[in-house]
Amino acid sequence: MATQTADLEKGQLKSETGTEISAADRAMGASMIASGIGSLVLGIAIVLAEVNADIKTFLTWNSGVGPLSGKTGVAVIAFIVSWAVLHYAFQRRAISLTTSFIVTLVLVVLGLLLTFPPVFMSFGG
Amino acid sequence: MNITDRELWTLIHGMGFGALFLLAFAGGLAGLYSLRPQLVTAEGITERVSRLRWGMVIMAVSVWLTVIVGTYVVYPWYRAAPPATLDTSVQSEELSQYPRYWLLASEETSEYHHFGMEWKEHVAWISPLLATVVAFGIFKYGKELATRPRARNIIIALFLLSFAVSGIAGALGALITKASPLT
Repeated sequence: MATQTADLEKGQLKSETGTEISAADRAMGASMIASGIGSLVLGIAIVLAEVNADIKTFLTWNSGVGPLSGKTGVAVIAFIVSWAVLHYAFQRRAISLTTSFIVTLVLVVLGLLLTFPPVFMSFGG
Repeated sequence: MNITDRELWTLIHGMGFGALFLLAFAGGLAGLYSLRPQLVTAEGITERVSRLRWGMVIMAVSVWLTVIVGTYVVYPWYRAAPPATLDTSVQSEELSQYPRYWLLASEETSEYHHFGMEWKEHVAWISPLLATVVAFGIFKYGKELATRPRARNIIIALFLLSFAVSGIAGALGALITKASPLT
């Protein structure tokens, strides 16, 4: 993963090799990875609710909806919070757009896998 | 033709917001793909980016509304528990008012819930996360997308992934509704 040092005066980040990461790339990278984090948090919440009755009860934020309300709720919160954190973190130290995309894909695929019933139900035994 | 409140909201969820998202996807994909200087003039790029921006906002909002209405309006009706006096091991007409329990009452239909609904109710929520990023990217890059093929292709890839995920949820929803409609 390539990391770059800040060059605040120019508003772009420069790598040691001179590759610039634009402000748009940094912002896009932060938002992409945040969506991956939200997806993975959803998957983890699904598994935790499957294996632990107390967590399942904790995630029941709405009685009509059941634990789905909390699972999706924590996922959306994780998406928003991580987006904000990454957006500011990437102002000083960013990774390339391609690297951000690869990280995003890995996180989203993991999250997708954990939503698949044969996978998450296997954790419940 | 009589439509109950539950049928109406199910229609709004699937055929309303859901279909709107799928339509916006088709237009958005065509717009993004054609955003190249060799295909479109400078004025054309300006015009298309403006349309893409608002089209993607509509798309992202519609997919959020789809999952919110689905989860907080339709889903509680689906999973509502029948009265204790009702036999949940027989697919009776009374039990048909409780789709989750109706599906689980027979081995022939139980997988519509165990696999179908259990996957649909969770996976659908990944689509609005990705759709929001797509809309954000189009606003952030704007006309630059025409000269940044890597950024454009990444946005298209996320767009396709969002569509695929919502397609899974939509298809499962159609099958579940066919097996045990909300009435």
